[in-house]
Amino acid sequence: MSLTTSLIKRMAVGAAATALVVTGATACSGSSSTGGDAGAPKNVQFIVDTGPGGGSDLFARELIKIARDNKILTDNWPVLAKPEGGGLGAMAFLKGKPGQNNFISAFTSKWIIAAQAASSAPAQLTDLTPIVMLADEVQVVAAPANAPFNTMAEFIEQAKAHPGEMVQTGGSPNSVDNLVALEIEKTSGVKWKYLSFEDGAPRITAMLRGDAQIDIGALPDFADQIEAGKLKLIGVFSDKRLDGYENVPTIAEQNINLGEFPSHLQFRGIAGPPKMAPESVQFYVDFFKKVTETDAWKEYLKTEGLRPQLVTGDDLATQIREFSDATKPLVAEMVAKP
Amino acid sequence: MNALENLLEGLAQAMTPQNLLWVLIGVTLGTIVGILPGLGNPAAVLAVLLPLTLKLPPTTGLIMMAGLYHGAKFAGSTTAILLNIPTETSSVVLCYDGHKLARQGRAGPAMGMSAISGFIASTIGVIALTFLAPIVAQFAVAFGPPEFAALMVFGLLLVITVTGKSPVKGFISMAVGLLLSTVGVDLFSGTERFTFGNINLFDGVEFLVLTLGMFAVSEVLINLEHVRGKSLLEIPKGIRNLLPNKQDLKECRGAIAQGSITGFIVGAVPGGGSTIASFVSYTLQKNMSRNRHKFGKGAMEGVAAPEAANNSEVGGAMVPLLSLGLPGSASTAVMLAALLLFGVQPGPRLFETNPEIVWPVIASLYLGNFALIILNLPLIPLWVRLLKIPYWVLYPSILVLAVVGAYSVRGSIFDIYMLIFFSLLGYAFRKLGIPPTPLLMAFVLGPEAENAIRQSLILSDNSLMIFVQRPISAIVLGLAVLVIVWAIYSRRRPGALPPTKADIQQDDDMDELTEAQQREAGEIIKVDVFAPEPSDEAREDGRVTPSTHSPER
Repeated sequence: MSLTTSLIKRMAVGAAATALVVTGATACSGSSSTGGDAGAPKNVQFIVDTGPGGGSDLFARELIKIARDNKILTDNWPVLAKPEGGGLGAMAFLKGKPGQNNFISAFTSKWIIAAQAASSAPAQLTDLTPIVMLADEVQVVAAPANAPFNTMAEFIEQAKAHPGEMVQTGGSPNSVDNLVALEIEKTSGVKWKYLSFEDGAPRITAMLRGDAQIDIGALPDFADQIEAGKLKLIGVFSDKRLDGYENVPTIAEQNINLGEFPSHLQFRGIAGPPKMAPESVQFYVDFFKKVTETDAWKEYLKTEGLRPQLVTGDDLATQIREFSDATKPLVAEMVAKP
Repeated sequence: MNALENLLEGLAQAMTPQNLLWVLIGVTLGTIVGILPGLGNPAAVLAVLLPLTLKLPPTTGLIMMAGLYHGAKFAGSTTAILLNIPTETSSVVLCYDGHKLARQGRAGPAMGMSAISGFIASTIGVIALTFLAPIVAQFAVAFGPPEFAALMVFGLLLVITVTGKSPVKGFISMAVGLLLSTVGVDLFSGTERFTFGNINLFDGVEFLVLTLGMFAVSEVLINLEHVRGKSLLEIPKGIRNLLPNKQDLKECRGAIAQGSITGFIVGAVPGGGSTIASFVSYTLQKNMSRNRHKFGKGAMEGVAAPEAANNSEVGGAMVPLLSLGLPGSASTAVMLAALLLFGVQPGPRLFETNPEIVWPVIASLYLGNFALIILNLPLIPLWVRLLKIPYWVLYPSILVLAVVGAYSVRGSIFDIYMLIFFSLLGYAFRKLGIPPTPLLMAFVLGPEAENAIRQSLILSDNSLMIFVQRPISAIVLGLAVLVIVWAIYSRRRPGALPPTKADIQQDDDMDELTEAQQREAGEIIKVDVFAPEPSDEAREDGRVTPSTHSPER
């Protein structure tokens, strides 16, 4: 869930990074010196799918900043925004640069859905060269604190007793929180409504007002409200319980059938253009490994509610394929019958 | 009163000579950066300049940021009034009356009014926030899709009142605006609407690109047809003519009060925001004003009301931010970033747990506004001199700024093509005498209304009763009915004849100038730089003597 709220909250960090990048960009004169590795691409450009201050933009800038602070990167990689169509623009751009090893991009699981949903998608993630998976945003289910259910399973029971009355709030119907809910509706045979809001704040007020009963998102979206006793967590999409929320059972513990869905719902990784040379892929894998080993990176992921998840090669391809297979029929159904 | 004591204490903490120096630096920097369209958006200004404040002590950093924020906002008003270029969305409304005033030689008073009404409104906003926050917060939570839908329907009805005397042309403009607003991927079904398979259109039409084309560039195109060797506007001499006079302030009292209240309420509603606040307040004022015939032709109230709303919206938006931890609109980005500098996560418990932080934050935002007024009122004469720039420098500069602005909003080359398209559309509108205002208002309010209505219908299983069952939406809809009745009544009033064709021809309400009239008006307004200054009498009533001789270049 890309909450405006959380974007803004992240702005302070991002702005600092922006300045660093801007000053760095003017200081370095284009010559590349990335730790002296052989096969290191020159003039690397980092493509992101959001404008300045957006989620992927901040992610990329923070990554570059940490790499520079830790001397893993000695020059600077400019960040280039291709914000069209939530990833479609960035994918199309990379597809048009086959074999050009100096272009990389920060992708998210949304890119997979975006390509499936658009009838005219100019490119999809499998057209590109996935390089490495970096992080996984744990999704949680939140509900009003005074709701008459304490787990997702109990919510489903309630929805069964009152068909078509319970409401889940969230963003676009193409977001993973809706798709995973559709899958649960399918496997459990229970239906509830989905109420879309563009921004995060109205979703939370919808729950506080009683217009909606649940919302699936990242923990930082709800943490303040939970602390204040206005919302509660009723489930975690993860293989283990969350630190600080040990009493909240995971979705698997609640015996909720996720069907085809893998346990990773929202992830962030790095991809390059089609036909990227194997030695370049290896260079980037090594580079990002070094970044993920730094303390600054671990600290950053923690504040963002992200979990480190370093996956490369065939495992990465499998993870992308599994996610894609799970979402494809759901998206197709939705496009056919809006 | 405990809250008041806290506020005063916060102000006292904030008022040190060092802080005052930084707030002035902040206002100056914010104004400079804010002049650029695209960057004029206060959130973007902050993102660019925030690192500067990180090196300062927290309170000082905050205060400087407040200065930056207000500076950027004022810069947006300045370019809208002087050059017809809105650099941020909430200043778009100033292109109507603010720029018209500038063309009548009253740029200075319009800018002064913008600063003064903004200052008064943010004072009211801060006071209301101090005393009413808990009540308003409950109201904000109660304001859901049906309530918002009712408010937007109300807003759209008000748009009809700015269509001028030719309702058909007004409706054409409104329909085009609604059509443009539907472009993109639908929020509820994920379906593409009018994207023609082009991924650049998936996220819809960018509002700022639309306004830059419809106003700034198309204005340059129109003016190029008949301007030779003249400066764009004339500037009266003497500080007396550069600030609002007593008469202006008296006229605008009601507008400032109305704008402050409207802005605060709209700001407090999650999903509101300053653009909607300024639009609603402008249209409300047009309906309430005794000088409504002047609206669109240079009404001071048309500057005062939206600018008041624009500024008190900040106070309103801080209510859900501080008491619920939810930002009401983008303007609260400043506050969020500021609180983060203190290492504080704004949240539902902030008032209880960190009162020592909340109040200096509110106080510093207020101080930023104060600094703006003491710094920029004396500088208005300097700003106004921008208009002395001859057209052959100014027009290319406007075009460059518009292109840079259109590009920098999303960093998209495609938006430059869109800018060209909307410039031609705006040009065609002016040639055909179609007012562009309803288009822009429909573009802003239309999607909000659509989303809220569809959200309501999802909740009610397609029963329309939801709009009258919930009290707040029933009240707002009741007001909307009153507006319709009043509009019909005032048109059919005894003595008021239905508009004749000649009326419509002569109707220069809201940019509806025919070509010939435009030319005529252009000659009246535009004065040769080399020509003698217009007489005092001419200036007094806002008219300007036409130049008798103008050297062709």
